Amino acid sequence: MKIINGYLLSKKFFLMIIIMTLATSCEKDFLEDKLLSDTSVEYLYSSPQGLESAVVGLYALNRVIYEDLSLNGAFPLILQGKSDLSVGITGEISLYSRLLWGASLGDYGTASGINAYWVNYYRIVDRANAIIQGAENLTDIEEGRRNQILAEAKAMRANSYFILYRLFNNIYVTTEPTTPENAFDKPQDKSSKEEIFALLRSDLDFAIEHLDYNPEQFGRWGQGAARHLRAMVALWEEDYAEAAAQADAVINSGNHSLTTTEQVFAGDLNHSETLFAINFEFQTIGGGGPHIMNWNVVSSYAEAPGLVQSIENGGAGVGFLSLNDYVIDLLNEDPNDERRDGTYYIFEYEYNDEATLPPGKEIGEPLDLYENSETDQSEFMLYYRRQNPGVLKFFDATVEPTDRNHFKNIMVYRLAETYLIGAEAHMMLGNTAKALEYLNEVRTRANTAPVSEIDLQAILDEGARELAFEGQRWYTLKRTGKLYEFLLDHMNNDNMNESYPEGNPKNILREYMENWPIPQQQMDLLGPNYPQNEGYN
Amino acid sequence: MKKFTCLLIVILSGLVSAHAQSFSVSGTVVDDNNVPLMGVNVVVKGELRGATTDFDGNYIVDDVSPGDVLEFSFIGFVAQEITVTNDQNIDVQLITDTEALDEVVVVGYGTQRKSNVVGSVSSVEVDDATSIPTTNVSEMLRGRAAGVQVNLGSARPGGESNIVIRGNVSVAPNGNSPLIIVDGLPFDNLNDVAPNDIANIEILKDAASTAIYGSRASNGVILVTTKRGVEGITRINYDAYTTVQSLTKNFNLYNGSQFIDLRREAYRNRSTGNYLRDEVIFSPFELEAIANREFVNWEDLVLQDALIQSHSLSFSTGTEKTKIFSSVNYFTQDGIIPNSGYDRGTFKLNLEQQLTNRLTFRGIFNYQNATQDQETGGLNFTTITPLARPFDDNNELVKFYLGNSITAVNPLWDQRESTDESKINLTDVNLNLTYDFTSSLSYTLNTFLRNRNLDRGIYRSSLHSAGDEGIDGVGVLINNLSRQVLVENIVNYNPEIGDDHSLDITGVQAFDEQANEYTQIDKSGFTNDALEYNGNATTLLGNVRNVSERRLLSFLARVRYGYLNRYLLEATARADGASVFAANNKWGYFPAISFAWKMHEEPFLEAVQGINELKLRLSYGATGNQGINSLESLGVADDRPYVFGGQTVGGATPSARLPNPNLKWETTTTFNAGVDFRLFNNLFDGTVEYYKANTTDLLLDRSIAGTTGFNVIRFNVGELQNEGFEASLNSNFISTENFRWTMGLIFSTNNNEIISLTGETDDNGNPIDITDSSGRRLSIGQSINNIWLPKYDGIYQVGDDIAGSGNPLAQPGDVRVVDQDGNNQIDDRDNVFISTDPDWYGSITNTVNFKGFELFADVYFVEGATRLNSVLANGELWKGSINGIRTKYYTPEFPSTEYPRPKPDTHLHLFSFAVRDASYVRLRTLTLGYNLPNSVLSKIGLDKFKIYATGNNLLTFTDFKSYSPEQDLLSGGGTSFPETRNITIGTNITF
Repeated sequence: MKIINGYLLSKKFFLMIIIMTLATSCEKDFLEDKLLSDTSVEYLYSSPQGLESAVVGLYALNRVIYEDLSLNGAFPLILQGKSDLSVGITGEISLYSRLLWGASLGDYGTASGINAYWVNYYRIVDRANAIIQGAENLTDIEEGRRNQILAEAKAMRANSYFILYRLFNNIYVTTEPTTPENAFDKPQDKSSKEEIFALLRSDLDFAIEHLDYNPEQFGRWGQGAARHLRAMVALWEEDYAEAAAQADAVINSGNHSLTTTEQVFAGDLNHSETLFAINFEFQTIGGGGPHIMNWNVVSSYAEAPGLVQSIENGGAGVGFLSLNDYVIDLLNEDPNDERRDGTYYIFEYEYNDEATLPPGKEIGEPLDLYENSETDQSEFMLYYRRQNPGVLKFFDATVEPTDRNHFKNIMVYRLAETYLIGAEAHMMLGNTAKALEYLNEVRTRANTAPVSEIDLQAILDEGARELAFEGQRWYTLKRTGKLYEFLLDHMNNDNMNESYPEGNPKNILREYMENWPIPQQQMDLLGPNYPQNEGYN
Repeated sequence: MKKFTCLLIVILSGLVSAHAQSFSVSGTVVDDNNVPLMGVNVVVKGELRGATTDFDGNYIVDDVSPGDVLEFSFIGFVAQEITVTNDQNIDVQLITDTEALDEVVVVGYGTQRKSNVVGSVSSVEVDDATSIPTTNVSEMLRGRAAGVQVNLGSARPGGESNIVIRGNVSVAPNGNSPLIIVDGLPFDNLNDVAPNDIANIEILKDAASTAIYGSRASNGVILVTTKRGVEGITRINYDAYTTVQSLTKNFNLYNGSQFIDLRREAYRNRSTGNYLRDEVIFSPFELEAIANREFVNWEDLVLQDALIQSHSLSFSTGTEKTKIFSSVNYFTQDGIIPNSGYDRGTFKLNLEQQLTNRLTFRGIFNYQNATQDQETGGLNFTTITPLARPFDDNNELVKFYLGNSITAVNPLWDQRESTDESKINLTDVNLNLTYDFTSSLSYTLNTFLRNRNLDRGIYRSSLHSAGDEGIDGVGVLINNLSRQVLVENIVNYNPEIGDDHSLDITGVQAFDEQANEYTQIDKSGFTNDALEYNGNATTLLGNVRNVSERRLLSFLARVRYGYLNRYLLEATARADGASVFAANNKWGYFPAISFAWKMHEEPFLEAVQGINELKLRLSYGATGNQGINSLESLGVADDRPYVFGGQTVGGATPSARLPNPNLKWETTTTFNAGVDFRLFNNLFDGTVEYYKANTTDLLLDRSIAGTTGFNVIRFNVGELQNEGFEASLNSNFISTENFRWTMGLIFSTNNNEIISLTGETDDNGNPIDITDSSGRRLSIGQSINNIWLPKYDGIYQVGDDIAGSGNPLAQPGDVRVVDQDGNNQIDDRDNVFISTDPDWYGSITNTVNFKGFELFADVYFVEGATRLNSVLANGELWKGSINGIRTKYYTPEFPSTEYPRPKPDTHLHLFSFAVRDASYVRLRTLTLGYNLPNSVLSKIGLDKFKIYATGNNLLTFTDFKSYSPEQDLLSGGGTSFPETRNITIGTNITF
């Protein structure tokens, strides 16, 4: 004890401790802030592996809207809800259909769902900008690998800017990635249409040049999807020759062909007709999701006596948004149309529960207890909720029929639309025979009779039947200048329109609503003179 | 555990009663006014035994022989020594010692006589504070000190509350928590201290007292001192209580038939007034429930009264060279929600040993083992429909309680199929060596190591709604290891420099490192539900690994100078380097200066009879804030894997937070002026204070334009001011032999105001507002806690000019808000700021002693606070889709001016409508205790025996409808854990 004390007490000991402490603390990196378990952004953009994983990040960001379950999964269905082919029955998504949400600056739907589109697609743009800049500046990379990275990033950037432009009109485009230094250089004005389209063209032309028709993995951008998108861009510029050429190229490439009607939305969509699809996978890292789109658009048939939720009837449904009479009538035009038969859409929900079967009904017969009465609200509400036809394009047949959480891959671009784009472009160029040929390819695949005359209405009608609820209809009507007119004629159904407590949405509808409002919280963050779209104030 | 405690008591009491011979001495101790003194230490000099006086001033010391010396000592009085003769009765009168009234208080890196304290320091009455049966020590500080605001965090067993001292000085996420120092060591959680171990709590509020803690002190410092061994006294103390907790609330839910009416009303056709057929608006299952009149009262079904039990046993002793305090505490609480609970055992050893006459060793060892159980996530018993069938005919739980067509799962079912356990192991070791070079120069080496390990397992079985449908159970395993290392070198020098002068210099060099390692594994596909999360799974759903580290390096110095014991001057300077800031901005410098004038020591006041003490204090100084997370100055990428054709591919993308490579310290500069007084022969004493704290270079999290692809960036800009007034007053109204009444008043106000922001202006030249990442709207002249919404303006009535209002589409019964700009449209530009901060808060405590009885009552006030009631704001409630707070809603027949009309869609402006007054008055504590008199105690061989009954939250007056006026009804998708009314019975025994 004495020895220890003696040692402890020697001044040397204390001096040593003080020096030790000071020495450790004065080491240069003592106060350095270090990434111990996170990837640094610097790594991401300065190596081929980093850039490739950043490209994968773009696909993940592009899935975000679909996975968003807020407001009962309304976000990925806003475009469908705002189209002329749907009826908003109840739930949040119906508030978009009846223009209570997403049609003014002040409403919650604008601050939430509309804002989500603005934020999410601009985020993809910025990350793509950074990848493109990083890949262009990288010296130590094999050229093919560089071009693949650039092509995917540019396709993603063009796709995002194109969405933003079509939704918000007054958009600002840049190819500069955001840095802490430039983050406060606020956009002062919108970009011109010429500037926007020049960027779209150059990005997509590069992508077309460097992408293969058969991408390494299903779900990545391929040449077919890039050309399809390029054709759509050309239509917006009324460059019909370009649109026709791109559509022809895809159709004649030998890499894509129409499948049967049953196959289009079956399984994981990995087939010849798919050009671009969002990928999900149940219980898998990176599998994302779930989405509840199917739940929103299949009726709540199991509330009717004699039915329980089943795969045959379309799984779990709540029926917030559904096909309206306009598109139902279009689909009923040809009695042989296969698209109604539980392939794209479900028109009949079958009795399947012996225990609760109503008197006089048989298992397997279609539910027919309700009538879409013109005036009796009790009656038509029951009809809409339980019996109205639904959409099966987002239906995951592998999950339990009681589960609303689905992991189905979601179709974005497919060859049937390429045919319709081709038909329109050739028609506008005066090449009626080719236009008819393309239109009839789509019709005959659905087992409907070929037509011999073609006009814009015919193409739009076929688009309604073929592509309803895939998210393209609203854009197409806006592009062709038909949006206001078609909505005024067809939006929702009139018995619903008149029963909404806040009044008929047709009285709220204005032509300026073809542009979405830029949410006020975003306007506040832009330059003081940044233009809001006309009509919103 | 309980058994162990009992055993200890038996053994220890045996030891104590082993003495007994000679004769006993007894007597009464009184003060100058012949009022009996309770708690006077009576010790046989040179031996480790003695007694304390009871309420009547009586004591008995056994085993005394003539010639022994008895020492009588009591804080505030001059100690007396009396040699025992043959007289077995010794009565003593102790004389007030004006010097000794001066308690010693703990301040940063040292102690000080209270009369010499220059800064703003509040001492908490520990006995009053710890009269709440909880492990949440933060709650014990509520209403106990001026300027200290406590906000309920979570009322669940083992839950925490947030302490805000003198307002929110920072906009940073971790920027408003005070620094917690326990026995000189930084604690990350005040609740780690067992309430029974606490000897003193001091709260340092102004820059002069906190600057010595520099970087972490801008929100004040809470100094806790645990009990120590005292020279010459050996004591064993046993303290135990049992508490019954039950639900208390101030609103009703809709019962079954009222809920049916609500739904019918909601779906009524607006133009015709016709009700829709029940078949349309109720599911077949609900129709059956209506027909059978089977309704569920979920509160009754889920909640049940629950128990708390606490035992603590402590031992303390001391000789001239060795002082020991040791304690074992055990606390167990069941929540009023089944499956929730908290168990904690703590062990503590405080040791002081004088190794040589120059070298002293002090050691603290704390060990804690706690288990927290939580119910299934998102358990909701408030907004859940009463039209349900949770049990079948055999009284077995039913999975699909809303009928087979609805996929919602019975919450009781999920509750049964869910496990969520957190185990916490905490070990603290503090070794401290002090070497006195001379009587005025000393050096201290202080070292501290803390390991906190959290092991959490969550399991949702294959029957649980999260783990069913082909998943076969979901398990989450979380392990978090936190480690803190602190090394301080402290030099203290207080030379004798003449009778008129005093000088005290302290220098400290410190480094502090906090490291955190977090691992989380999510898996599914369990083969055996019985093993719960300990079982093997087949599918990996996710894995997270987070490692972070923050370091702080500090140098500081303090000089105290006193002249004539009247004029006191103190200056502090501290330099801090923090790793979380940008590479070139690591260091911050924080000086402070303060001055006090003890006016009562002046010759001209000495003669004034009514003034016992009068002290004026002024201080000015700066403290810093580093309350941000690490890595905010660096670019960090989030993992974003994706699947291509079912194959997982790794991906990443920069997170939505844009890094700021220039982040630096936030600095708060505080001016404080205070007066301490003691008047009219100690009838009143108290403190009145004013402060103004300005925070600059705010660590502001600011939203950035969506066009950048980022959401938020943090940067230093702007200024925030907190200004307030505090008063605390103690009155000894009655102080007689048998009856005493003291009252304490505490009053605080704080005004929070943004002085400047980015400096940017809008088109009209007005400064622009900032929205931060948590959605707060920050605006110059406003508090940072304000709500920004359109102003609620009642309910539209028939005959109102609806077309000319802000919502031309509205109908009677809809919520009306003010259209500020009169453009017939309601949007952001119609928003106004609504204050949520209370105008003032405070407490009144009364203690009445009558003979051995003691009555304590504590009333707490919060005035002028507002809060958003999320249940009233929920559109689903007004649709009759969910249950909730019952109101007399609008109907065409009985138009309400207070509550909207139910409708099938979400009402507009419900948030404005739901901003409600959350002021309240609460009888927080009412205690009745009884102390056995010494005459009885001596017969049973005890020093003290007290029994008491306490009620907490007995009465609350508030307009805010919730389970607590400080808490919204819902959080995290379920009902917030309700605050309870508690009835406690307890005892306190000292040997």
